Amino acid sequence: MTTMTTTKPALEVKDLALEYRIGPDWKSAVRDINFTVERGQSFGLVGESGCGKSTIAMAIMHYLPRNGRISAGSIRVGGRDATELNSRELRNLRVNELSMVYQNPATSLNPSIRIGRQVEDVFELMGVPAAERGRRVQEVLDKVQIADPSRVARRYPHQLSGGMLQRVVIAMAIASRPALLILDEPTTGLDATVEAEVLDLVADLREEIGTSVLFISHNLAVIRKMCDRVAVLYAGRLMAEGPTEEMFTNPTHPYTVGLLRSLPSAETGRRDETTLDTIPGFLPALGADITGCVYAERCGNVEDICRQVEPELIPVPGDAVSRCHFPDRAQDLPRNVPEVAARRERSQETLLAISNTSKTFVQEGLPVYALHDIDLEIRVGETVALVGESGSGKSTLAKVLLGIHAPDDGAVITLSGKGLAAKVEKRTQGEIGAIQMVFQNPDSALNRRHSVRRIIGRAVRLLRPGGKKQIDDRTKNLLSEVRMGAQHYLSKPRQLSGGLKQRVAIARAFAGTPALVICDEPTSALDVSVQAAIINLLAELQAEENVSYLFISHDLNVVRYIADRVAVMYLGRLMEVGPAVRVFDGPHHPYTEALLSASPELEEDTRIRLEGEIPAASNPPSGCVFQTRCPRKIGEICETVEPPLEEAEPGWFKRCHIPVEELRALQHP
Amino acid sequence: MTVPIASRSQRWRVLRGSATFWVGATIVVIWVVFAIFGDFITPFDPLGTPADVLNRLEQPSGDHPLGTDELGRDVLSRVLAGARQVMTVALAATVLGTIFGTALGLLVGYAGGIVDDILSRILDAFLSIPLVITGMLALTALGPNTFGVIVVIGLVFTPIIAKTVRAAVLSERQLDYVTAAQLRRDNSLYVLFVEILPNVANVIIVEFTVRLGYAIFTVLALSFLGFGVEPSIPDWGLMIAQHYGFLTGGFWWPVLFPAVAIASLVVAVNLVADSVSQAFE
Amino acid sequence: MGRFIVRRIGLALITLALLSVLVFIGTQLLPGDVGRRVLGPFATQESVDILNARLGTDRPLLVQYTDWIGGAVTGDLGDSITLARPVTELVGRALLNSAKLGALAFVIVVPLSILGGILAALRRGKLVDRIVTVGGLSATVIPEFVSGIILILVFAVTLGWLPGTASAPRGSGFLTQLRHLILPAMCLVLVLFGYIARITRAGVIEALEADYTRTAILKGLPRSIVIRREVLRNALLPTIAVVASQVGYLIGGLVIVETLFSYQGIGQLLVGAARNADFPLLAGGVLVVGAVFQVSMLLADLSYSWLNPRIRLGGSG
Repeated sequence: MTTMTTTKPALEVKDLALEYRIGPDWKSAVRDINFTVERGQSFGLVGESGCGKSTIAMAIMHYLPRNGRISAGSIRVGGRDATELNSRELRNLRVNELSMVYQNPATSLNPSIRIGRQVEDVFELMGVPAAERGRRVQEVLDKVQIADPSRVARRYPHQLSGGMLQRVVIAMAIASRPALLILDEPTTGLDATVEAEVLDLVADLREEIGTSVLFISHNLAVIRKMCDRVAVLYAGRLMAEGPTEEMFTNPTHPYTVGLLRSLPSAETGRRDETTLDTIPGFLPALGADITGCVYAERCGNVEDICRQVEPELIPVPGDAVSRCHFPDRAQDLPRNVPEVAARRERSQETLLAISNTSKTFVQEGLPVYALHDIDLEIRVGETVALVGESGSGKSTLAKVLLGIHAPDDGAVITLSGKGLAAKVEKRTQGEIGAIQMVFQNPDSALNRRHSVRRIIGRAVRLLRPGGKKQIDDRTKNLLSEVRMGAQHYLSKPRQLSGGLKQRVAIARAFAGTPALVICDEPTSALDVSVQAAIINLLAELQAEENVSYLFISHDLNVVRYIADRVAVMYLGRLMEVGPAVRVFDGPHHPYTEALLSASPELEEDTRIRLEGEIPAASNPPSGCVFQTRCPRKIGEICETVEPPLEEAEPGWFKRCHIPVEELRALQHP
Repeated sequence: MTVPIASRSQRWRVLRGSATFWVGATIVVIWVVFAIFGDFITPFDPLGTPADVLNRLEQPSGDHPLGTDELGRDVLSRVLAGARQVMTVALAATVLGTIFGTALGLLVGYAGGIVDDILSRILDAFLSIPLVITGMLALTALGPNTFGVIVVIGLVFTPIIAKTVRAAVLSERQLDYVTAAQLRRDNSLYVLFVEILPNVANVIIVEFTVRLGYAIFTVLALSFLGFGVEPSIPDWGLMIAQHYGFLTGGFWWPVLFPAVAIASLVVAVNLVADSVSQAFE
Repeated sequence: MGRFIVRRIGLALITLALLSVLVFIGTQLLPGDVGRRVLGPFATQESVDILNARLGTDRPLLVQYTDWIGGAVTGDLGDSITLARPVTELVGRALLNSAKLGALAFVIVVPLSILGGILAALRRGKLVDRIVTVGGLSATVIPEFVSGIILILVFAVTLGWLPGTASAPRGSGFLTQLRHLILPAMCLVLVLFGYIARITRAGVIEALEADYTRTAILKGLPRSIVIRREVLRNALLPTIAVVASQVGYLIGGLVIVETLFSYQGIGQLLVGAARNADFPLLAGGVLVVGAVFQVSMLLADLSYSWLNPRIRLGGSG
């Protein structure tokens, strides 16, 4: 073990600049980065994609890609500059003082080596005698709350779930009680309940072993929960830094203000009351040559000086710094979009009804029950949100409605009271145009070889046939309806930003005057500032066209903002359906209760832990499918009888044996 | 961080900057020139004249820089003239195989399900016999002629190219733009040829250049074994086949020079193919 | 795992059945009148008819096929027309000879090319890498009869170190036989090296860039262990399948090499059968070649799945 004076900070980044070689040129990725992580502190790096946060993490680990280099500045871990170490010293540093947890746990572990062996490596490198290693592995797996360490140690990575794998990676990272633990988007891609558990675990461990943490995330709520101090990055520059609460409650940089405003939260009004504010413009290209402030182009507070002189990081009240000429005006930032929400009419008329619908796939000769006994109606002009963790059947339900998958026999789907054919091939042109979809990932949803004109025009031609002129006019109209200028008419997708691509996809979904648009996580691939603009757009389009949405999302804050009603799915079943306010306020179905409690904004002691893993859809549990994990289970009836989806209150349905009053008593003591 | 997709101009820039590409392309162009103008620049009649028998197996000299063969024909003239045969046959066969293979691959990949299963099995069966043997088998049945060689190699390439195109189509089909087309009930031909084909074009270009190399290889191997050649046409493979028996007697020139010609052409074509695949993948 | 094995063997059997149909089409259907193709345009119709009757090629195609394939299953592929011996016996003897040559080539090329591929991957962009990739590729595409001639010219004619033919005199000892096989084996090595090296290189590079390799390095494992245990273990697994698929190229190469070096293996047998329009021998030989290829692919797949915990243990992720 190397000795380290405890007075030195765990991490000191000074004037750091990093470059990437693209073709023959070196382009600046980040520059002038300064921050310090004190011993025992938890420090957050937050920013949207392309801001350089992961690049900084890799530079700290001294593991830049082949085309990356440190062009200036220093990184000191425990007082020592990692760039000056030889390879043996660097290895020692990684073994004893510096650990990392990665974004994707499934690819971060070697697929052909047993878990136990991979964890044991760490102890071997630390010099733990062979005889003791087995016990240490058990201990450390136990510490990350793995229930059966010896069984897990014998497994290969592909036999464990994502949450379990991330626990293993964390176990490896904390085994040496490192001075600094870097977590790079450790919960991105994990389900909400799993994310909550992993975050709680990291918080507990930090308390227990007192390690310093550098936490990297795009998720402001997660950073707020996890960190003592936070630095905000934009376009490779550190824009603001300070104590977390100060940064969130009293932001002194217009970018921070803009980010916070574009995020819907429990305090934000609902979509009928207010729009979400957005940040105009786009991130500058990597290595772009900008005089003045890099954020000037998008800033509502911009003055002449901002375009001429790049501001320094200046101290602001509350032990913070801000790279802005006018930090005290940050919170007076004018709104980019007016607060007034579009007015819309809603009716009680049923648009689409689906009942008695199940979907069974056959996989390797075995049935997989993807949907079971779905009953749901969507009214004209309303937004129904579909929530539930991965594997709950949300996307399968969407595909059944769209006619991509035919449901099992006995299913009834009606559109405006008329029966709808199971397969899209059997539906009329009007019916096809009436139900359309906006996909999660615009890169996949738009043909990369086609122009915007062709992408939208083809849909118009098939869904609303007409002469060439009419089709052209309609295409241009759609483009302006999604607030895109004519200059994008001939662009290819790769020439557009993520937000613009998603607008094109939305325009295409509206080609045939749809009555129902299914939005499958339409903003989860986008940055928060872009997400706000897309959600506003969807809300405006709904007000203008009186369209209904089935909005699939895992982000409960977005759901709370946009949905009129919410349907909660678990293992192919609807567990709870009701008005959004009612579902969020409770009393809840026990599964909904667990989902809601997973929000990073809530404290750990109110968290409802779900035991075990989601059962396989090929072998659902007897009785209530949630009974194996339900913290409110009342007894044998849950194991033997599957509860029906019953209307317990007018308009509110639950699939649970526990009476509403009892749920109320349990959940609001 | 997302990796930007290489645009067309970027791909050409990569290609232009590649030394192997230029070396390969230069040699290929030289051979193309010989293939087209061979007749006009050969010093002697590559098919020989009755008087040639007097000059059998003459060493390389001022008159015959590469010597003469067992019938007294000028080796240089025959090597230059031989370029045409191999290149036209190989090119035609590759074009044929690429067209059929692309069509079949698109069809199989897009249809999926049982059609895919059945055709994939047949392709696998087809591919379990080495190329040269399939060619031999077919040419034995069809008899020797240049057209037969083109058709046979083209047909043998069809399943190989189809397999590659099919894999590319399958991964395209996973993308949501295909689902989007389904959701507007677009017709299959539009989806296949206007939506999917442009996205697998790179794969087809790469496959074409790689196959061209193998086509040259196969054409020459078959003519070396004596299949499919018409004896009247100068052919490198046949030249070697007719003379390698003389090697031990010290008559190396009628064998070595066509061998060098073959080596330079196949290596050049494959240098080009390799640079193309690196630029396009 | 059990399911996988059964499925994989089933697939191999289906492929073989389809192959037999293809071979049958190639040798019975394509030639049209088999007797005429064998005897040539100047033979009398009467003798053609007699031959067709003797070969059974005057019967309905379905009967011919079931008869042929029924025989094949029991090890009877009929008699050769020109050599007047059972096809099974001829093919068996030739296959044994080819196996010797092929085995020698494989023993040299497999370790050599895997090593080359690993070196190229570890020194990516450096000289070694260029030599292995560009050099290997060039060697792969040069036909065996071209490289063979150059080898003969250098090592047999000019230097006189090695014999220019593959067949050792009758009754020669092991070492003499081996000496005769070196040059032909080298031709095959040249053709096979580049491809295996390339695939190995690609696999190693992929593993080097994998997230789990990053984890291993950042955990502080020394580079040598990272490469040996993390990288090679995952990278070499797919190479097994590639090596097996090279059996196909190997047999293709044997056809040419055995002709050039006049070696009495399966390749030369097939060339002879094709030249003489000896359809029963051709059909039997090609069928056996296809079966050899399928069996080697099957063995590769099975060993791959046995070594890969993902398939061996199954289970969901």
